[in-house]
Amino acid sequence: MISTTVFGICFLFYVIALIASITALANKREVFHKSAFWLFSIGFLLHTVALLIRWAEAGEVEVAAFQVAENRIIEGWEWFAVWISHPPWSNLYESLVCFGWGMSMVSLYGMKKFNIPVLPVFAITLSLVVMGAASLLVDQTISPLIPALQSKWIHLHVTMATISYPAFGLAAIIGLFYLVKVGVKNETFGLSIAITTIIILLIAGGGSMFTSGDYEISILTTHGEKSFPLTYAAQDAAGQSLTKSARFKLAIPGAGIAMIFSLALLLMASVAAAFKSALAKEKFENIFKLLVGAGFIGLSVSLALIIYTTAFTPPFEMSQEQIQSVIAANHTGANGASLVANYELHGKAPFNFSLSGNPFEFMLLVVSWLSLLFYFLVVTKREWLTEQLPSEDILDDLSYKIILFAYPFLTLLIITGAVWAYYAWGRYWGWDPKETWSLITWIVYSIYLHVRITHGWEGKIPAAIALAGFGIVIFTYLGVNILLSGLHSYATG
Amino acid sequence: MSNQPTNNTFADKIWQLFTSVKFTIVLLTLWLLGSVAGTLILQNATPPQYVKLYGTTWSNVFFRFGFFDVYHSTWYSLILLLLILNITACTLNTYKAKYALAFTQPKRRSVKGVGKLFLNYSFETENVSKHLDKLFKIISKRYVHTESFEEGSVKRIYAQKQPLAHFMVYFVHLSLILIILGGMITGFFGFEGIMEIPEKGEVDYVFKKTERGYVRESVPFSVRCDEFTFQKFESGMPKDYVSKLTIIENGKDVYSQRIEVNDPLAYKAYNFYQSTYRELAPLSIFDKKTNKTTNVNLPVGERQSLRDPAITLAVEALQSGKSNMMASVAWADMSGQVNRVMLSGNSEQDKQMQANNPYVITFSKPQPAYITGLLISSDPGVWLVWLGSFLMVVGLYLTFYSSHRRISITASGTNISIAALTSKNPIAFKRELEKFIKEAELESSTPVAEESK
Repeated sequence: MISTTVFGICFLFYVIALIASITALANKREVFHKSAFWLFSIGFLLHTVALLIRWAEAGEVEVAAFQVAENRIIEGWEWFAVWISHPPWSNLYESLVCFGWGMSMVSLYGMKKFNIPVLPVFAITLSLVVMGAASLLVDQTISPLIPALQSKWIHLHVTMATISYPAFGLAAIIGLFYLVKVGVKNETFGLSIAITTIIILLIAGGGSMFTSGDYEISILTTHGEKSFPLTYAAQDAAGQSLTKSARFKLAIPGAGIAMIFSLALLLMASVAAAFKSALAKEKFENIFKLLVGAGFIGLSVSLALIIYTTAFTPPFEMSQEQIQSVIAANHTGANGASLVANYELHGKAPFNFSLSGNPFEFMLLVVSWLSLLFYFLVVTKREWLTEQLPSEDILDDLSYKIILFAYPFLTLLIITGAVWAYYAWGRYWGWDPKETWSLITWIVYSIYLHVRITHGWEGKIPAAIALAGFGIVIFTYLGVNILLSGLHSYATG
Repeated sequence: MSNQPTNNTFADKIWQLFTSVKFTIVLLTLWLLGSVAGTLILQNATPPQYVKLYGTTWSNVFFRFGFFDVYHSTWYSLILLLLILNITACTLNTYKAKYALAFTQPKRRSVKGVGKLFLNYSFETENVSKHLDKLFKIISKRYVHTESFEEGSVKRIYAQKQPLAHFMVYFVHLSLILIILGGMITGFFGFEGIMEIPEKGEVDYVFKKTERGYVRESVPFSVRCDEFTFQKFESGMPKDYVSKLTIIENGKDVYSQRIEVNDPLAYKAYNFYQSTYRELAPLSIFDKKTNKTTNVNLPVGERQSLRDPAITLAVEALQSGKSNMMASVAWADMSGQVNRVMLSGNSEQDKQMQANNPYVITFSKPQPAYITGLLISSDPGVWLVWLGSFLMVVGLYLTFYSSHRRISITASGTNISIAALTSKNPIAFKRELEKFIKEAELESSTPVAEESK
């Protein structure tokens, strides 16, 4: 598809813009600042064009499906109505690409409006992470809209999300700047990042990290031109189904060990922070830095191994015995013996190691890695970073204003969702996990608004809420679909 | 008042608690944590599922504290009730102060304050009246209420705009109360049931979901499905399903409409939604002994006993594409022997396969028959929710983007001093003020004391 190629070029421009913005920090010449901005703008333009192309491509699919279903050729206005009926926000891939687009839009606005030289680096990185996650998704195909999505409310609903979510992202970045400027201790940053990374490692590593010390990744198989994760079904000796469709995963050599190493060191750093009063100040700082640093190296090694293995392992085949032993290891009884009596693989060799096997786990690890990198930036360049930032009051005010802008859109996002649900399912609210988490997001930012006007709680607390709030936004957006079950269709993407 | 000091202090303490924003934050946090709990703990499942998942002890604890139906539990409602009380108390508590800010103080044309929201400038100049005229001209363009007057030897300008900004937050708070009330009305008086109607059939009852599973309940009307059209994509995914419904009251057809997903029918207090559909295998059973053919439509997984011929049928699987249909049918006659036939849709082939059977089962038509699944609801609270939603969005904009700004300019001798107060957004207000000062060419004169904090 042409849109995919254009998205690729757009991604490339974002990368070059990021490099230019980093260069602009090291070398204060205006030309780098300007080129970072313009490169990012061109990337954004391509992003927009790619979305429009995707819309047209989806239109062709809709028209073809419509003609087959109705058994007739359509023309004129009827053709146009069907052709335009599928805007690019109906599955996970399209949704992420839209989110990335919104992120770039607010980032460009922020770069243009606020005079914060370090902002572009953070904002472009956020856009890149979102686009990176989208590009790793296996299912980028266009399928015709299912009846529940054929509503005019979807357009308003998505528009509200595309405005509010990225704006909360920008508010979070500026909240982070505020915390740097206001002089939050290095260890506090380190500890928060270490704990977040521990949680991410626990989620991304999964059960296999503890049972066998392996980091496992879904294997891809191809069918025609399409790639999809290899799955299998297995039964026990009594003929009872153990699983109807489980992902077939293989360990990445060494990655699991490196992750456990990283996890253990970050845990030790957190424990050290809890007992810091027992140590001399300077001694504690050094130990803490050392532990987090070693944890960072562990994570870097595991990421490097994941990238290396997925990039350089050629498509491979596996013998029956190998496949059997992998599946057997996944279903063991109380005594450790395998329960699997027979199995069926849903896919054929050649198999592939690919980052697309576990795209979100990989992106989570990348985000962890980036935040640890940020910790070291704070530790080593605190003074320089503080100088780059405008005054506390300005940062606080900016973050507040962005949230004031985004909050009504978040409210509208929930309301349009409720109206849509009322027309589609007969109730405006059903305590579906997605609905509940959108309410939770709303409560979080409501807390922000009230904390900010409460005497004695202003300053750091709201900034921390603005930062954590975006994490909750992302959980509502992606985590709920992946970790909790619900009604939103892109859950299965 | 002073007769019962202890009682009074306790009441005072309660009042203080309910009028504090910190209490609001605590309540919001509890609301948040409660909502999170409801998404992490399995809701409204059966006891065996819970015991399997959490064990007996934890299941009992969770059950006792309402964690298996968080959003309908007493404590969850209590949090919301306390929040409503908190909002009401805060409103009562702040109303007088806000009234003073919006009306009493402006009447006295006084601008007093401390902190970020209060700005203060002072200038020495030779030509006071020239600057004063300019300031009046500039400010009166942007401030609806601008007046110039003299108090003895002191010349003054007083300007203000949007005094009602103080009250806008009440709309937001009221809207939240309306939405919660609407939700409660829905919870107490709402009605929701599932109705399944076979094509051409007529039904006058629904199934309501209760704690004991689905319970049949009569409704004061009946619904006929005149037509059910179903379109599939090539992949087999549904493209569209449309039911043409007729509502019948007292034996008369009163209303007819087509409905589909996202496009319901509204009749009196009831809404009719296209929810699901079920495919039925259209079977025709030919009894070789009597030479009689019986037609029956049967959903997958349901068993049906026929009287003539006396056999029991069950459709074990049904698969239909755009132009083909296949089914696996099990049947047993009086002997109890279970037989299975695979229907390919090719009637000659199907007949041949069953040449030795006493009964020949074939499809009676080339496409499946359908049962349309409707969701019927009546929701007397929904209008309050929509009203609250509307009020909330409007209220938020008014709250966030309006501010009561007041400017008081005093000129005596060679001194012009400006005191200004805003209810919100001091940075933008400061920018505006300094623009006024620059336009009035006061900048060239020396400011004496700038912006007292």
